[in-house]
Amino acid sequence: MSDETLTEDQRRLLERWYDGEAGTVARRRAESLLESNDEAEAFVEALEELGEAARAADEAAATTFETPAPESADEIVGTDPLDEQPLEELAPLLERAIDGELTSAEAATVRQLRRAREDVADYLDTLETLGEAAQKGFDASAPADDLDDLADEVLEDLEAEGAFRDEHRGEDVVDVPSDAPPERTESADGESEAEEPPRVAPRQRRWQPMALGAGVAAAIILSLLALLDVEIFSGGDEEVTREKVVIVDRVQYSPGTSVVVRGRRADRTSGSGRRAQNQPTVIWMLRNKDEGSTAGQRPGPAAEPAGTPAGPDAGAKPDASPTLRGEPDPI
Amino acid sequence: MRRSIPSFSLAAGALLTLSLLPMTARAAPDEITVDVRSISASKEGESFDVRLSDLKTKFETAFGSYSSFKQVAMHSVSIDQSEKETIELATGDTLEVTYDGMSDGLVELGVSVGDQLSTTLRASPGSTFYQAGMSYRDGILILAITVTK
Repeated sequence: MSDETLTEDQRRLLERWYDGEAGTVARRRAESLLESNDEAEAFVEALEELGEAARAADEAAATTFETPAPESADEIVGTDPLDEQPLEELAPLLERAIDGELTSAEAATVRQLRRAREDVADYLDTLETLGEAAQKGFDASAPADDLDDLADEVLEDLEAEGAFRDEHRGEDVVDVPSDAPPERTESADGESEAEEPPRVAPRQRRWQPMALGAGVAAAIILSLLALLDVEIFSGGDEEVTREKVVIVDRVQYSPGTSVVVRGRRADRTSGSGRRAQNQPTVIWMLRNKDEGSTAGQRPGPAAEPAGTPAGPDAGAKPDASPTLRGEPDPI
Repeated sequence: MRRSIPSFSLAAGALLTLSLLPMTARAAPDEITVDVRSISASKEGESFDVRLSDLKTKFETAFGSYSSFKQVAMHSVSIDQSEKETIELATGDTLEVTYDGMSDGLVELGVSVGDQLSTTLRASPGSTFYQAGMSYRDGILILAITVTK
């Protein structure tokens, strides 16, 4: 046995054990500590002395006042004997015991109930376990990244104490502190089975946010490239010429009309085509004054009466006489 | 947050898929837009409609003998492939434009004025060509035809 000085946590553990408020795991730890540490044993003895002194003081106080101190738990709890009191009626008292809000007499009553009734002991154990788990979480100073590990540790502790096992108590210990039987479902072979309590959601995988972020970043980058009209997937297409051209392939006109095309024709050679390419493409439609008199003649401003369509730009002479019917001669 | 992550992942995946579609391929447009500006040209007086400022240089080259230009109408039509659109002109004639598809990056068009003129041509998207000569008021009517996709 060692005589190491007790830590604050160890002292609190022993106090809870002495008060009968320790859970199963805590009780085992306290008992192990008592077996291995002299200081722990001395501490518990001191607690006993304190407890006796407190009881003595209570008794003394009780005799001073007119109202006598309750001599049994029956007087505190109610008219019904403790063995017959339903658990839900005792629940407020038991919860106050976990919270440390009882007087000495009430605490003694709760200890007695714990020894006398198994359902009360189970309920108190559950409350203690949940309280320890909550306290563990509040006391944790780990960064956000380690909370998943912390949650796993808490769950492992709870499962080790049988908080989620039906066979431990035979009832739904998390939600309903009552004598109601567990929900049972019938299996395929007709035998009834206890329904398993809901399981805690699995730990969120850490790679999901990373993959999501990478996907979003890639989508944003590609979208921006598309908006900027940047070629990403080259299909080997030929470069589109930026030169604007207009090529007249075919012209048909009615009798009495002649057509002159200025600009680029489909049958243009490269030399004259380049010069014509710089000129705007104009499709002149000229109305002949007289079919017979104008056959083979070039239209001109002087030959046309007033009101008839004017001829083409005088500075640009037509290369050949337009024909009256069919395709015009090349310009 | 957990419930919204799957939805958000789907949206991001859809966006990523759409952005991976080929971007350089330029399929033939299903429709083109043809703008037809009707301009009254005369040798009387001297004026130039400010709405024709973008065509001034071309007019000086092609219609230098005329001194007065005024825009009298503006039509803009969308034409699906193998479809045609008809525009009523200020002269009372009918202009008909047909979109015949694309050829080597050029728009194939059919242009006819009533039953007097019918022509087929190929034009670069964004280019402008002219039809002139119909009698209008004291001069002629010039049609500035612009093709875009």
